Amino acid sequence: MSLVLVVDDDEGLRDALETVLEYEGYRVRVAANGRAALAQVAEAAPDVILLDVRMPVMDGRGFIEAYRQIPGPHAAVVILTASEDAATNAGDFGAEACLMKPIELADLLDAVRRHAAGSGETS
Amino acid sequence: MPEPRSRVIARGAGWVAIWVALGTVYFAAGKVGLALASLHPSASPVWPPTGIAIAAFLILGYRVWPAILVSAFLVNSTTAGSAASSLGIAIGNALEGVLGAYLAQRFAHGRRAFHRPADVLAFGVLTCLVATMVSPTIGTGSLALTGYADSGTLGPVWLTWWLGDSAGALIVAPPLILWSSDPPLPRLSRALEATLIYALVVVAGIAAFWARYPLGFVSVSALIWAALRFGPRQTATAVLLLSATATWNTVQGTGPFVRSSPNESLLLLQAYMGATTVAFLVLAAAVEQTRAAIRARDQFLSMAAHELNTPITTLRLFAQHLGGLADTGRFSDDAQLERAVRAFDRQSGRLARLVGQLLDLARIEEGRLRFDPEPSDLCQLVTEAVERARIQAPGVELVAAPPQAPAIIDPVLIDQVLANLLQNASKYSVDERPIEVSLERSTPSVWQITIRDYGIGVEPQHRERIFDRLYQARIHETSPGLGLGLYISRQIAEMHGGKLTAEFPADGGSRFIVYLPDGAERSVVRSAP
Repeated sequence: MSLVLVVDDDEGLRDALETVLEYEGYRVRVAANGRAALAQVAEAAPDVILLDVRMPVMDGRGFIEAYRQIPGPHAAVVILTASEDAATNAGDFGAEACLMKPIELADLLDAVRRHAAGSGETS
Repeated sequence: MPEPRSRVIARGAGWVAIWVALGTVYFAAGKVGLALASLHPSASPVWPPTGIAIAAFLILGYRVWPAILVSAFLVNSTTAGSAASSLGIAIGNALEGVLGAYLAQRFAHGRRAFHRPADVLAFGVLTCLVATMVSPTIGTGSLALTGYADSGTLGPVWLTWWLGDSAGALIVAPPLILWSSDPPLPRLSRALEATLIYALVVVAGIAAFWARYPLGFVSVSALIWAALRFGPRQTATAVLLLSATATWNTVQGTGPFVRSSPNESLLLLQAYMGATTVAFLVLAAAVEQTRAAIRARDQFLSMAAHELNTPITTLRLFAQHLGGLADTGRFSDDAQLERAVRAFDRQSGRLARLVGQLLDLARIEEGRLRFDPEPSDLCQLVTEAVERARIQAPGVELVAAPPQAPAIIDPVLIDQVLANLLQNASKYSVDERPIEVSLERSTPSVWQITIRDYGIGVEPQHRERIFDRLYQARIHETSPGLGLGLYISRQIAEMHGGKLTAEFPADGGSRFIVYLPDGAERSVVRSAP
């Protein structure tokens, strides 16, 4: 079963994402910031990364830059943001997709399903 | 480790080069100024060196004083007077610059004096009108003592000197300071637009002063254009160009300010240009301040949307998840239900707090935040607030408090202040270092609540503004919260006749102190017949 890495500094949102994704049968790991996420990636390669943009210690952009330096294959990165600017610039960030908060469950599951299916194809 | 000798020499050589360059510019400007002196060879109604000196002290620091002193001496000693009179005048010139820069630093935000109308006015009055009395006073005194001025002419000489220095400070210092500290123009089209404004100002100035054609209004329109479309830097530059054009023409004997004596003509012109400078710099600063306020509001709205959307997302995900369980007949999954219900409780509480802060902000702005003081025990309030904070942050501890602390306060509002400050302390704490809370008397009638953390603190450039409304967003870009807590807390402390201050100890972290009058005097007044 696909592994989803949830990276968000908000504990409540991490818990919600973990609950619904585990219920759908995904394995889920969580991290509170970009640096913690890099440590998680080193332990187990995820298939999809759900990534917040504004986080302390290391933000979403910093994480993607560091993550792309690691030899591939790379997981698809889906940005979670409330900022329209970040959504518009998701491609510049090096992300595959973007979900605008507040996020609908169906959209979330659809995005994870789509990108988990194509995991390992991106580099 | 001591600095390498080569680097010390290179730095010293750099400063000498700066001194020489500054001294040369000052000398040249001084020669131009004294060439326009007619009442007395040492007193000119046009004296740009004052503006150059003030700008140099503000931009480069007080260490450039030798360059100003030496070049002021050379300008005067090669024009008129003796070595003694020139030295006195040079000392006056240098001291005037130092005092002008000091007053600008102390009362007008120094190099940032042209970004708020109040600062422009403070700079105009203190630096350009008050500090500029130093040079004429010492200068005319030196001339009188060394026999280079009759006592009968000292009054008019002093006045000419002072107005020349004032106008020099007002017209020359702002563009120099603004060009040295602001970022360059971002686009070619904007640079071209600014150049067009400068050209219009000069052409309109020539038309009005030289050709005596009534086109003065064009320069006013161009200055308004500069203030509205650009800001203080381009406005100050346009005023300087207009002043140079007008001065040149007045010296040539053309224009509306020409009187029978050249000195009187130039003094009238300088007074006009000084007033024009202040008016347009105030306008430019007001426009810039309004733009900054709009930017802050937009930034706040964006941040508020982000802060509200996160708990809303959590609530919606859980609600839709439960809906899905109900649809598939699996709603009786206790574990899923429990997680969802707990999340509803936490996230709805968070939303309520965020909305409460927004409402408090609106109430404070409209002056209708409810304030119900009543006899209370501050000690009990502080103890309970600490206990509540310990649930989230175990490092919070009450290190000192008397058994009772009677005060007439609004317990609901003060509890909100304590919660805000404790939440901030734990938010910015690192490595579970302790957060120490104490309650004691600061004076016989004032209680002092101190909250000390050893966290990341606040960087020096932000400290002055942490109590400003909507400022948090720029301190810690990634911190959760609306950035209203400190602003609201200070307002509440002030409603009680107290205050809220912040200190940043050398060993790191922050110390926030709430001072609250115990209200005993108020209760005496209230109970008096």
